[in-house]
Amino acid sequence: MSDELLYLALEVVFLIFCVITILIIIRTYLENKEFVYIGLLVFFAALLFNSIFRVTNLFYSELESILVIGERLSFSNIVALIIFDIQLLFFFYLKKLNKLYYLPFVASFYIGFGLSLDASLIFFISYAVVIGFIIPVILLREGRKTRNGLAFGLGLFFLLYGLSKMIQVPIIPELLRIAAIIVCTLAVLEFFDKFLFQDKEEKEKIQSAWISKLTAKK
Amino acid sequence: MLGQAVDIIELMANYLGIIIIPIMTIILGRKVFLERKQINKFNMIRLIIFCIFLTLSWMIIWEFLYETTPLGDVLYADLVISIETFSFYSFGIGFIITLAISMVSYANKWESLYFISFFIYAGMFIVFLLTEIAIFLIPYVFAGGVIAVVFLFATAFRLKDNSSLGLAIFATLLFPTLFSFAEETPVGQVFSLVYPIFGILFALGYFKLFKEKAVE
Repeated sequence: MSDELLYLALEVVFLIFCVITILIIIRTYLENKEFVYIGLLVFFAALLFNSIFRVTNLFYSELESILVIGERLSFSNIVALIIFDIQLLFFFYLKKLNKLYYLPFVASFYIGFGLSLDASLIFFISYAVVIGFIIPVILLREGRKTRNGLAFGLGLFFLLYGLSKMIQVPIIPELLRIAAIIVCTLAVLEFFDKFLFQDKEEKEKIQSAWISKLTAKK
Repeated sequence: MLGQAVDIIELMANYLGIIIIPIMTIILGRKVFLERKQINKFNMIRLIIFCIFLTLSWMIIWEFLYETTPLGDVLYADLVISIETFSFYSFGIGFIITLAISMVSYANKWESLYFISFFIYAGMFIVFLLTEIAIFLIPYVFAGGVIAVVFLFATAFRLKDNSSLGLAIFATLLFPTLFSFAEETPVGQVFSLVYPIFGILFALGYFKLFKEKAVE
């Protein structure tokens, strides 16, 4: 019971950060009206549903087996596919490959169809590995190169979240998920843009403006 | 008597198709590559139309071999002519529809939709190769065909584009003849005679309903 309570507490922390992130994304979308924020919104909504599902699963463990379409298309697999789609979509958006925007959704549809027909997870796992590790590394590299805090933060988030899915040691996956969502909240709050990728020249200009103001007063 | 007439018309249509469609493809191909030499890049609309006719030639050759020549006794129907599963013939129908949808999105400059029909069709084909299931093929052919023809007409009238209109009319004439149940009706027989004639006029560039060419 104490284990369940600990998991519940960790899941609630994850849920709170998830809701905060969604609210920030909605606010940013209303300001910018950029298409990518809708994708991120869908992504975090999927994470939120998944989290609620995990909480429910703690108390009603048979729920997972009820919500299965065909052979192996479970609720958590559908959510995972949505999560992978948005990761890939975000990557295409960042690379301005707008001709490939619909590729992730079509691929997911067929992978989902395959899961409903056959219990084999080979395509699902291949898709997960390619997207879960290659995309975050590219996003981190691109984010650092272009000094884009959102891309860097999301890359870090996808990497930590992907690791949490792979590591099987108790508690570590939950802690990694919380670390991931904190990083993501910081990214959408422009923390990385403000503190990690701040333009040095601009910073010096501001500082020198203050210094010149102070010296002028004297 | 009527059955005999239908058979004769079908035979005539088969011969007309096997002669005219490859000629049209060669004419269009020549135009595409000549234009490429002049402007140093492919005219995508023309290239798509050329690919459509190339696929149509592929289909007509297989249909002719199966229905008119003694090879029909040797060739395996499921591999060559069946439309319920992926065969040489049905693969061609699906690919023509894929190209037509792609042409609609290209003419309208819906950039994010340029390749969606290719993704859907490739996925369908991979599923078939792995599982032998082709349940999406017939719905895709019908739904995709209707969508493509409707949008081709809409694009043609919106952009006053002769290529789209010509292809829309050609597809309208051709579509009923691709399925044996429709081809055997008197209307299907008339269409199967008319579409090669219209096609050759279109390929030679005589079909110009709109004087100005807006697309390109």
